[in-house]
Amino acid sequence: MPFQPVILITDALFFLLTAVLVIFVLMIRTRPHLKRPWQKVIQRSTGAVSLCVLLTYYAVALLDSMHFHPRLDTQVAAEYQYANEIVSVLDVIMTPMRTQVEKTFSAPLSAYSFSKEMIQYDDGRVEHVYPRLKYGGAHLSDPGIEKLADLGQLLLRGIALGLFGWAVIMGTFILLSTASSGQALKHQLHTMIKDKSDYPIGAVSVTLGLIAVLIASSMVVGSQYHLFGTDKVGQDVFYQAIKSIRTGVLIGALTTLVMLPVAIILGSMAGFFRGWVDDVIQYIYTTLNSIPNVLLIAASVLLIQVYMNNNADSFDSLTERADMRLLFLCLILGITSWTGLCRLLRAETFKLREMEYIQAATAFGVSKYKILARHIMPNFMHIVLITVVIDFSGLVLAEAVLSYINIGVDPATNSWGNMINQARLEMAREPVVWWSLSAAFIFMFVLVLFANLFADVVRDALDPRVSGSD
Amino acid sequence: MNTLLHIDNLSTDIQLSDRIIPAVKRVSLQVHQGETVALVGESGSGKSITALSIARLLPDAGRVTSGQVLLHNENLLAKSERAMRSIRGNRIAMIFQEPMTSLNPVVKIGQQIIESILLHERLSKTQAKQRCLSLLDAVGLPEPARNMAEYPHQLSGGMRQRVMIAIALATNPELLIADEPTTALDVTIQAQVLALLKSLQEQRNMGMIFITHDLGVVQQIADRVIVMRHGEIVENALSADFFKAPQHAYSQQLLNALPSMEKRGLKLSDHTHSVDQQNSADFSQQAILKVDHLVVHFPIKAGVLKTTVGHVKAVNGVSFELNPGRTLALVGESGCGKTTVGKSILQLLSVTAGAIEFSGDNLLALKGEQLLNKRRDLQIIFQDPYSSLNPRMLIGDIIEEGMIALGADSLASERSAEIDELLHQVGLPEDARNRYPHEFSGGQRQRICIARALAVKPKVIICDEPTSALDVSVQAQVLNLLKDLQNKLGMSYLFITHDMAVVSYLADDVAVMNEGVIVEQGSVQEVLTQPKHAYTKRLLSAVPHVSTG
Repeated sequence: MPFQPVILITDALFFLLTAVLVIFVLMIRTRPHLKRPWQKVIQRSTGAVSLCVLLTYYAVALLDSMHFHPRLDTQVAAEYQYANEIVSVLDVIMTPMRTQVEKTFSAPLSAYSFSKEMIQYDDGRVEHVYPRLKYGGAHLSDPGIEKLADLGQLLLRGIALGLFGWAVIMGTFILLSTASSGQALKHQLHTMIKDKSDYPIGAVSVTLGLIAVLIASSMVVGSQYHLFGTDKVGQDVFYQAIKSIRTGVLIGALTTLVMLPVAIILGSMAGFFRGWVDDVIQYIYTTLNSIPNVLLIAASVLLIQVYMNNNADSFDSLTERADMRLLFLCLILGITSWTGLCRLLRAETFKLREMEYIQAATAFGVSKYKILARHIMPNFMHIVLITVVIDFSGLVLAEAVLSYINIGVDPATNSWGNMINQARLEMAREPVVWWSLSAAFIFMFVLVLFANLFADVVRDALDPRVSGSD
Repeated sequence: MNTLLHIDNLSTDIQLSDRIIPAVKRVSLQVHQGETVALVGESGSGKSITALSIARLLPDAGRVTSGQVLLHNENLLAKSERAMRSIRGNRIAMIFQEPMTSLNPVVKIGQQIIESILLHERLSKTQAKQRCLSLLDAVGLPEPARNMAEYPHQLSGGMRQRVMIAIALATNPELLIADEPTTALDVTIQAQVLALLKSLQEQRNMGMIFITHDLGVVQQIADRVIVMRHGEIVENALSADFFKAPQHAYSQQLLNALPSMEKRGLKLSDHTHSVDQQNSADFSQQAILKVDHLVVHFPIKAGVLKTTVGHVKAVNGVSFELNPGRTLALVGESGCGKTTVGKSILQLLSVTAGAIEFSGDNLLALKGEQLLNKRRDLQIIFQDPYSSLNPRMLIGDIIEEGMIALGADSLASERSAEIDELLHQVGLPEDARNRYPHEFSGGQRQRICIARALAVKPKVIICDEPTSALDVSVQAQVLNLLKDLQNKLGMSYLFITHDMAVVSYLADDVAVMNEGVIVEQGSVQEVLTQPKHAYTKRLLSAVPHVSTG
């Protein structure tokens, strides 16, 4: 085998989450009352566009979660040797950016280093100059003259490639939708171009086109230049920002996975059984709520750090160690963030348990747990979904804040919080090194913005008080 | 007589996200000074939208597409919003259905009335207060001076509706629009409010548009009747003529759909077929359900330790018997404890004292398995067809749930055949089982509830106001269905209701409840024609009767 797959714990959970999402989507397709609000979500152009952007982020995170040990190029035929290092599929795709490490800072798209160095020529002359970069723009003989033209050429090539990819995607989509709708291709094209469809096909195709062009051109340009420059140790900042997507999405998604069962089970039990059950659950969450979250998170992260230092042998690699810490961060964030949803669900269950269909079920002698599962839970699921989508962006931001004060993910893990934390000192330099911070900011901003837009649309579609239906 | 309001060719559309509903179609009508015009129709007939169009208070989705609304020859639809504000509440006043939500709960009654006076007239504070006192006196509040300083929650529903009327009359309006002002009130209070409205209207020579679905109320108050259906006026006649000889087929149908004593044994709204009166109730038979001195108290808890400081005595020693195949009506006004009786028979509430005997066993002593076995014999149909069906379940699953829980039929194929049969029995299409509750209308939902109750083949069904949320013609269908099913399957009904007309049509025996006790019981003929207890007499005299011919 050319590689040896590795499944980290967070990978496994992430795959599990993906499977759950896929099952959820398949389930919705068969139930009209669930399908209707989601159709409303993607019929609105904001919803469809943000879903495209979020799915792109998700796909990057998924690619970055497929880890393996690459094979070493040893010529012993009988037995393969695998490298100790763990890389992901995304790393392979971005190989030039991952491996092209410069000495230190360099500005975006520059061919020269950011700081002057003493260079000794062969003839013994010593000069204090900005040295050429080892990889960025290394193919140019005189960057001052050729760089712009070269960049333009690369950009055009990238755009062409992106448009080609877009055409392939749209072509497949049109063929698939024609096949499923059973209409003639000509007719289908007609509806699409005239924008007569129920779905915002125009907005979606423009978004997909933009995404395809952006990805293709940044890959093409990024293979020759450092798109967002390099950091202190010469690593490509664009590569780091892309790698951080997995951390951000994972924190948002896994924390939800931890928090949901607790919130749903405790919230519905408190509301349904009332009495002492309610009292106990209420005391738990009011107590938890009155401890400052950051304090709790800091204490837990420090604890886990001490544990990992004492048991350093039980981790095969640095990656695994960092992964463990990421998982614990998700757990702790989950433990501190279920209280809000729990409170909402308790109140909703209070209301639902007085509904007459619950009484009818009691009159039939249906057991209490069955009533909870069949009559109460499906009726507050819209609240759960709305909260999850709204909380997601908050969690992504929380990661950045926690890493900034050094109680977030492992320093070895790529994350926007870590990037911002490192950029703290760079901001104080003269001239200022702005690209690390900006790259982290841009990628995080786009994710959070579209997550929030999506949350708005989901809320409008699912919340009966807003939509006035259901 | 002077024409006060002239509506000419009014059309109003409601714009939904996916379609446009024409709510009012080319409606023309006139209201003269001192005249009461009743707008009658079932829900969705466009009567409220017509009223809202007059005052230009349509919801955002509503648009007047054509026509004129002339108040003394001024077109209200052409006025600016600013000019409209001084007309609303000043020359046109409105009263709404729900007195609980129409008043601001955190502002004192007096202040709310004074505010609306000062908004439209230049008066000093003391003058306004004086006016307020005389208004409260006019609408018959017992102690105007004290009531002024009270908050809305300190008043009963009827008193709150009187306050609403006082606010509406504060500025001597020329036109009063009353949108189902008595629907949320008990019959005795309704009678008082109607009499009050009538006398105030005559004193002040106001024009009044009275929107209602209750033909009994119409006959009491209206000079002219306008019947609306699907946004159109189908009949416009003087009240006396209308009740003597309704012209339009729909008006006749509405009148025929009213349940009453004379129509016992006949199908409502359809006099051709008579229901087989084989209610040969065998009096020698043992009572199937026997309630003996039932007491239900709800503890009032207060303080940190939640100690019980008192009890709400909802039911205070109620006894009655229900015979197989008979219908016992439990009648009373809201808050008298009739629903509590129904729920405690089903063990949905805990009983404080007394005994409930069902075919020889004391239900209160049963536990677990034994109770479950009895549950299949006792079922309930609720008042609100919208909250009694789980919106996330298919109709088939809803009906099947009870069968599974009580183990009625063990095989899935048997259950499936059973569901088809049940849907057929209650008159629903067969494909209904694969649809969701929201796809059905109120009457259809009530049929689903009946099918759900029937699924476990009960011997007694407790009907908790099953028709009070429905329109008259739909109510007639549901009552017909209940009667048919009883004749076919021989169940007993405990029929909880406040509607005397329904009682006289359907019930065999009546028990009248007031403040947690039964004040009078007996056969329906006895109680309704020769009431003995003062409360029963008061209740019966307050019911608005429709007399035709």
